[in-house]
Amino acid sequence: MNRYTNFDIDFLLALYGENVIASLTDCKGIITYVSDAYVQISGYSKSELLGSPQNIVRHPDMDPFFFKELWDTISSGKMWKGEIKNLKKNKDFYWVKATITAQKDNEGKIIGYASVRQDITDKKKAIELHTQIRNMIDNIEDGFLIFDKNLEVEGSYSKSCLKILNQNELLKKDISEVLFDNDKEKKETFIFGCKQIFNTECDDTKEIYLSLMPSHHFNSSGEFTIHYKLLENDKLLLLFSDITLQVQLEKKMKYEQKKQKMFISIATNKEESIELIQSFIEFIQNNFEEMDTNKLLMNLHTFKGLFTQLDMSDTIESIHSLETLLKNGQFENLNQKELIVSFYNEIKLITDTFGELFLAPITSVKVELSHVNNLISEVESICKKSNIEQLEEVLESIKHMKNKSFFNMLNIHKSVISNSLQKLEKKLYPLEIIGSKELLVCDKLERFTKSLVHVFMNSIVHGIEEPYKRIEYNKNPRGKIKCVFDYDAQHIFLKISDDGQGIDVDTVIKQAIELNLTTPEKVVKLSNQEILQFIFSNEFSTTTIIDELSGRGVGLASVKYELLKLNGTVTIENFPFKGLSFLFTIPYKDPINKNVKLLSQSFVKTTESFLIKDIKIDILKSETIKQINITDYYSTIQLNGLKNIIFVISLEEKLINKMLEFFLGQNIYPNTKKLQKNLPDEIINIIVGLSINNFSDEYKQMTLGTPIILDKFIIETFIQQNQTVIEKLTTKYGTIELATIIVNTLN
Amino acid sequence: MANILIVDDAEIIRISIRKHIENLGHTVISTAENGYEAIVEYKKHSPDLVLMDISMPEVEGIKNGIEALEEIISIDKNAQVVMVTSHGEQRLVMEAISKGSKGYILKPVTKDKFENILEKLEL
Repeated sequence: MNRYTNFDIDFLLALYGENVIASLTDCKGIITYVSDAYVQISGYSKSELLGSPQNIVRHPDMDPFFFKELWDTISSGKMWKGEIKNLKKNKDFYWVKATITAQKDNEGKIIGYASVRQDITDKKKAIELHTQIRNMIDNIEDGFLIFDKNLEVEGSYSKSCLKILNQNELLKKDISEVLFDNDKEKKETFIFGCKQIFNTECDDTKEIYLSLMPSHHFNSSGEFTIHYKLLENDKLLLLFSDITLQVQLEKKMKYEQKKQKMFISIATNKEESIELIQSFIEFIQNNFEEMDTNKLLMNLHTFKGLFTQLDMSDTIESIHSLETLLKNGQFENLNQKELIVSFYNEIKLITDTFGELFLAPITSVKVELSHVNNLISEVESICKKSNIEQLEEVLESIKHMKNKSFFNMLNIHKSVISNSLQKLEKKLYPLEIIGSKELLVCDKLERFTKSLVHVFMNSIVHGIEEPYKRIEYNKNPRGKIKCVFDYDAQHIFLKISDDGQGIDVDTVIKQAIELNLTTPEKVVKLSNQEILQFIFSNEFSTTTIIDELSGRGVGLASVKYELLKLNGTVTIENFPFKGLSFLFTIPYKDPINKNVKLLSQSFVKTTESFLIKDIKIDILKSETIKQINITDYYSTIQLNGLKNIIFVISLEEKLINKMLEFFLGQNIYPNTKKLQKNLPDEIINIIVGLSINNFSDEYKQMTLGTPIILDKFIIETFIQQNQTVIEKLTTKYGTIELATIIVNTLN
Repeated sequence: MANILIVDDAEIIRISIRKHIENLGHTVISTAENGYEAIVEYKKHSPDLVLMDISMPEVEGIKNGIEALEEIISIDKNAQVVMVTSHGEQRLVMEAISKGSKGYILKPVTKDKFENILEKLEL
């Protein structure tokens, strides 16, 4: 055996001569022989090496323990093999793979050691580089992995893939399972696409398939976009970019929007909100698990519906998940606590915004103006930062919080009237006001309602007779002034009437002629109503002669002035000796459900940009109207989901022809009539299809039907019975009318 | 200049595509309203390119654009058929491509999209 060893070294030296990095040492490790290759790689000269200890080339990186082991091995007569990092004379390093054996004399005593080495520096450097690259790859946040024809993941994926894909190991796993286990359709598309990509020869076709591959992945660790790259060795590289933060940011914005929505809903439904919140507080004090399940479920469901109106989204969500549990027959471990927590969190948000007193159970509620103003400036700043148009709508709605009760606006006159009576020798019942306390109006109306003091004063001073006169006329000695109001979606109707002596029309005529408001010739042609309207003129109001009139006039001009600012109208009903009534009609915007408004807004916006950008037709005017005019060219389309939404467009023929020109060019087609009929379908399909992108999330989930021509009568009925916004766009080629209808149940 | 067959069930779309195609200097050799007509017209005219709507009503047993495509490819294996498609039809498009379609155009159709695809097909 030993002889063989000696023979090996001699043999190798003979074979490779000086090209082998070889050396001999004595039994203490002093170099006795080095080959030329040794001299070259170490950088020392032959004479420097000979007689020096072998450890002249020892690298400080090497562990001393390593050499102890080496030495132990060879000194016991065994062969040692291993990799050693050596030091050059110039302090550079080189790696060798060494084989060291003991040389023995005939008696078997060790007389020295022989070693041959192979330069493995390049290999070592390559490995180190590989490790560095590996490190880099594993520290890149974006993940990438490679998989083959069998959809098996290769070992060279980046570590971040494990985190991104929520896996402990990816090697040899089926990538389609990993990516789309929760989405069967996407998975099938992915598998089909991969199969095609790997099997097709044509590069262009491969590109087409790549463009059709699913490009989005999400799981509990986040949301990612997927980029595909086909590698030359028929493998696919996937690159994942993390968009979680971006999505989260968007979600946060949406959350803020939701909260603002809630504040508005609560502020505009103050009394109901407080009642609801109080009764819910009572309700959640029950232990749900002890309650009758059906009753609990019913209660929860009712509350959910009620909270929906207040946009209290977190509470709704908690109720909803409880409901789901109950419906699935899980009656135990109901997470009542979670519901209570999310409810009180929202309550805290409300009190933080409106002040602690807001939710106190009293009938009239005040929101401090400073809170409202804060809210406005907050939303305004979000608007600026985000450019979200919907927020402007929100802002508009918050401004509505400054709305006041119309009833209360009138109510202030009660005390004015009773105060002024003390100076007059007249007797009156207290002012009677009949109408809904729930009607909220913009504070712009306040100037008008304040000006009504002149109407009341006129009634008291000139209308209601002294008690003795009233007895003479067989009237109740106590006079009466009554305020009655009602409203529909567009108007407030206010009637102020007294049971006084009315107006002497002849006196009004005489006075009007004297004031040069009319001439005797003209006045003959005027109607009674037109004559009575003279009392609202400035001249009547300012003249001193008025006191001699049995009629009216003082200050009424200012009432008319305020009324005109609101685009209102007034009619006078005169019953000589019996009484006088003023009938005011004031335009008023019913605060329509925000959802319809938002939907309509985006529907209208898309239509506008379609007209302007695509068809190149300018819009001259855009207005909200009350009644839709359905022409021969109309179509409807439905968006179906929790609620059903119907969109209607109706176009004038001139505009349809202009649009046809866009679709067809200037050419004349024989069947233009038929095309005209089909065009509204295409247009509504395009417009609503594009609008969906701008809808809020809840509507994006809904499915869009195909355009249908609903019967005109049915559309009109829907419009009458449901939340509807109708917009009319005017162009120089005629008008297009757009209706957005939210229908709760659709047959 | 290529001879093109347009297949779409909506007349407005057919005419709109025709306008784009003609503006690009090509000839619309014929149009068809459904897959069945498309096959008939293809046999008649052997167009250089077919623009095929992917979802159309079933006529004479031809269910949609893909079935018409298959039929046309079986008549003429060098037929050039490009699918016209909407969002959410990726899977169907892949199927069409695997059955020999040369590409796809996503609605709404524009002049640029046609220009691109015609250039790619060297027409």
